[in-house]
Amino acid sequence: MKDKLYRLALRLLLNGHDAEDVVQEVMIRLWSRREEWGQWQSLEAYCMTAVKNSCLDRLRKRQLRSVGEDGAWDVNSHDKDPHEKMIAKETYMQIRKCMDELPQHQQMVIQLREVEGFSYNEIAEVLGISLDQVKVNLFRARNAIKKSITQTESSWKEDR
Amino acid sequence: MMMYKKLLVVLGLLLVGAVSYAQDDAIGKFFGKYVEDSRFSVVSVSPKMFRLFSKVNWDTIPADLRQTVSKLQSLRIISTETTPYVFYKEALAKIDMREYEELITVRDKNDNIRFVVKESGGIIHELLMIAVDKDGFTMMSFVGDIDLDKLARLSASMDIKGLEDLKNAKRKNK
Amino acid sequence: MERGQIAQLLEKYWQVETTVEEEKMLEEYFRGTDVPLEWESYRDIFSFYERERGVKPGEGLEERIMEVVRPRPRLRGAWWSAAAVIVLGLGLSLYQRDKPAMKDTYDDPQQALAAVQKALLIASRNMHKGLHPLK
Repeated sequence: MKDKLYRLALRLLLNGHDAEDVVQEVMIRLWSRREEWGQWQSLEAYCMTAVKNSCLDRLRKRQLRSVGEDGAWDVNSHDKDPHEKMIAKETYMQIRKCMDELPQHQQMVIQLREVEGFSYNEIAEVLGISLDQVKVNLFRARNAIKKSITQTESSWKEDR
Repeated sequence: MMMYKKLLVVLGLLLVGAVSYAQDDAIGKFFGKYVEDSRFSVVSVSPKMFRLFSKVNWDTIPADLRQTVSKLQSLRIISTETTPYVFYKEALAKIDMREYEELITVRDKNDNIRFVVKESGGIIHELLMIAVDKDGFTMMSFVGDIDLDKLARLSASMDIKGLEDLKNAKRKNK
Repeated sequence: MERGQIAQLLEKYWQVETTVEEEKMLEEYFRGTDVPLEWESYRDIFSFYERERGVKPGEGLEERIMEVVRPRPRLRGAWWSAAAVIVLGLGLSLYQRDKPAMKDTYDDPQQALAAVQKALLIASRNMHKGLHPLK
């Protein structure tokens, strides 16, 4: 479960260090509220939602800060973790870039569906949106990624 | 104090994905579709059953074995006599080696046995044995907190009679 | 799986009509070697997600969390920990509820225990073979 939480946080925050902080925070909060566990439907969904909220919170704070510091924070600056280094292929970079540029809800839907294999219902529960919204977001995100990658490929072919 | 340890183990499990409590041993993950397949014979002992062991008479069971069993959560075995080498290959191809680490490989003219483990934080959470010979293919998965050293020593402390029993048991299972 | 079927699944995929299982089938297909050139870019998409799934936090994280939740001496008390275990058990069983449970082969714990014992001994014997091949 910890890994899933981390991946969602990383997707939103684009920074491995911050993502770990969020997971730690959420797991410790979970522990401190262990008396309530019995009342929750799904521990996993609860944690995923907590990670989402905590990340969005951080992103808002970052935005405020970056306004104050005249855009000092570059949201696109990825921390290069070992995994990142492995991805050498250009298309991967292309997909990643496209994903990073998607609206937040689309990013999260893609992450939960394509990477973690959640059902629509689970995604709706975690994100607190309706089933239709889940599908609309997924539709837009999938097609945006498809478009970005097929475009690159055709321009690459033309270059030759 | 024991309670605390238990609590920590449970939390630790949660942290590492907990799923070992349910279907998610290697057999469930990679060979799940064969569990219901009539070509395979299956033995499952669920976490629920493991919890019931506390009610059983343990007097006849040696202390080292008792310790090992008490730290296990589930056991599952599947085996088949149909095209053993085909299933063996499939197993090797399907097991995600990012999750599992190869531990021991035994190869002699009769057997081909591999042990792989799933480890995190220095604790082995699952031990999977994959064995094949011309008569059959077997996968055996132990989930829990596994002490390899202890496990390896179990058979060393066993007498000849024990070995004989085992051979018979194995034949009967087939 | 045949190409025609894959084309259909892909069509459904872009329309957000595939099930999780069908998406797994697509992923499986694109993991294979005989993907036609025109679908090459789709293969990249699916393998990208697969890679993402392998991303894990640093090793220290688990330890840091465990450090915080490790019980303090003042909390030590049989009553409290018993309560916590019960609550934990409850939480876990709720959490696990929607996963299919393992079907038990034996109804009798004594028999199940005997099977576990046998399995352990078989595993141990085989391990022994690997560790001390000369014996």
